[in-house]
Amino acid sequence: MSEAGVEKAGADASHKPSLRVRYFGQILAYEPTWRAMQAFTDARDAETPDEFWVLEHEPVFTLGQAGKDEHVLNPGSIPLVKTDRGGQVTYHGPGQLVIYTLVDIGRLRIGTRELVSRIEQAIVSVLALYGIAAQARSDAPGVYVGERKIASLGLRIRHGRSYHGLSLNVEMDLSPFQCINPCGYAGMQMVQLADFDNHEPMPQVAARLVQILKQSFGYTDQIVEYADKL
Amino acid sequence: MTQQQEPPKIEFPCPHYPIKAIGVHSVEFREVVVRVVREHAPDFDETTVEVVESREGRFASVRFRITATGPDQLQALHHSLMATGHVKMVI
Repeated sequence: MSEAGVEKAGADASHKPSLRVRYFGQILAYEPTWRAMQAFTDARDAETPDEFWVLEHEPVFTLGQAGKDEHVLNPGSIPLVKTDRGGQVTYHGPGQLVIYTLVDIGRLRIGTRELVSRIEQAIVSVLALYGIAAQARSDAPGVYVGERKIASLGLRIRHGRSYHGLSLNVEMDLSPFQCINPCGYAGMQMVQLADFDNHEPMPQVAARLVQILKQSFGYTDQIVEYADKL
Repeated sequence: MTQQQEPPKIEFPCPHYPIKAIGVHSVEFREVVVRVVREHAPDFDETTVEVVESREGRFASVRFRITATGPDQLQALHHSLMATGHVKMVI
């Protein structure tokens, strides 16, 4: 559906940061998605709009560059992929919202820390819509409700451009997290949106978070696409 | 935690809750969507329905508002819309 849902394509895109949001209708395998992000990042130039990829993954454990194998206690039948994002080990699966933020941070004039902080604050803001008080921490990336973790961040910056992004637990099977020490912390408890009475289904959560991220990064212009595959 | 919970901005039941169903543009697309919505939201006001074509006209979104009773209703509506085969995405 390459021409689908083009909602607004501004005529004056040349001087303002523009954004392409790609919503994927199918649940995607991790590895091809990761390779596609790398390929996009390698191929982009100074004019390429930033992209958000909005999707869910098939079950997978991923190990960041700082990841230690011993934090994967018992992967069972779920595949483990060693990837090139920062951070430790995490789990992705259906019912978890993943947004990959493919952003030229130099062009947006923000640093890596600011990028992380804006993503965390966007997640805090979307949770506040449901009356859930969440916060980022200075000692560990991600977003927490009390002591429990609801969202994870993992990013890679290559030549001033980011890939990978965030994952937010919406309505999923959290039990695979018990097979790992999430982000390297033994006994880290995970939580999800569906644990709270007041919540919305995945598509609405995704659209709201995209909207908040879009405002936070100051995009004035966007193209929205609904795609079945990469 | 001592932190005060903020009052929710989205709370059910939620009147005038906007939903958008996106699919391939066809003569029956609007009717298919409306039929499914009526099943899940009996008080649904059809005058809220609006159809917007994509720029090149291949796709369309049917936009409407319902009184949303909660996440279970929204989830069920989402599944039924997707099951029609006409809808690619619901937001």
